[in-house]
Amino acid sequence: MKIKLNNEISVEYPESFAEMTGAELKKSFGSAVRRSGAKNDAKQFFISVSWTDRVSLPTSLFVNEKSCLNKAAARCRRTLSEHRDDGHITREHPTGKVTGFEYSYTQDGTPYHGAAAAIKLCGRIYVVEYRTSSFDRMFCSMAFNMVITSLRPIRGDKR
Amino acid sequence: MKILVLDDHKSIVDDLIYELKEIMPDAECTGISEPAEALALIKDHSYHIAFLDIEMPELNGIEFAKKILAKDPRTNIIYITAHSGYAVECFKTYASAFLEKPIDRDELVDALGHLRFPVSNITDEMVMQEFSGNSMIGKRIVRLREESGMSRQDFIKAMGVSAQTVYRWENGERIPSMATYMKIMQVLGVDIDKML
Repeated sequence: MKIKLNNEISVEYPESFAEMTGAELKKSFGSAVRRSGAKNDAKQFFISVSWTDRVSLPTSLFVNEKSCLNKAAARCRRTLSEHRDDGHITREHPTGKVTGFEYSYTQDGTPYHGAAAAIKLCGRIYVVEYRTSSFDRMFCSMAFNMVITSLRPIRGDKR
Repeated sequence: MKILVLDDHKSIVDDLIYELKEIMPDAECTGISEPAEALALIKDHSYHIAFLDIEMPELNGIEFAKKILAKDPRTNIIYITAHSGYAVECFKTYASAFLEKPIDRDELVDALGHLRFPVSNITDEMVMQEFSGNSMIGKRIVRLREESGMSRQDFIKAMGVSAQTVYRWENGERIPSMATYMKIMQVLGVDIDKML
């Protein structure tokens, strides 16, 4: 399922996933503004892509992949109960390595885990984040990697 | 068991191999994300199972499967793909399974448990040797003798035969007659059930 984000970048969610509504995005990730998401109900797996406005100098000195990840991490710590930081991660994208973090938390007595990774494309920072109660390691890792690597400029726009 | 994983996304190859090693620690897994490398590999190697992506630049997974099967028709082909539309075409290569990415662990385990050509560590040679009768009886004599705590020397003495005769029984080179077999039972103090 290929989705256009802000007419510049497209993302492809796995076929078995359904696109999330604004209400679902707000419930799962706290916001639906400049955010797209998809879910797999069978696995209780939710994944979203959020993005910033275009950043150029001097703003890009302060708004970059690291600052966006720090903001995402702070939001997780603030809003998720029994939140635990599980360390840094790296993922692959055709443009190069992408960094992020993993975390875990509890919701209504159920353990969840998640991860986020940030990448700069076409002057914007894109943060891919997932949350799930599934501990099928391969499924979660594969889904996360698939969405990250699917982020591509539309119509050959420059990076 | 030898397994090949081919996908142009290295992260998918890594994820799948990690999981396969969790499920089957003794399996020998080879992961390739360069199609050219895969073509060279299959010229010299055979695999019990090949996990193949379908849509890859430079190489179509279904065509690659045909090349593998031309060399070894008993290779289990398991397609892994993000697009379900290829299912019909895939099964024309008599695929063992078709897994949609991201791969569910339970579905992977199920696919491995229902291979088109089940894989076993037991070779045809081993089966023939085991069921030829000779080896089976000999091994049983050795096992029961050891279980009874009797040394080979004591066994030879008790049976009243040469060391060479006992050696031949134990190695399947000679089968004892029924009368001798009954004497062996007596000497080892075992019931007929255990000897049969």
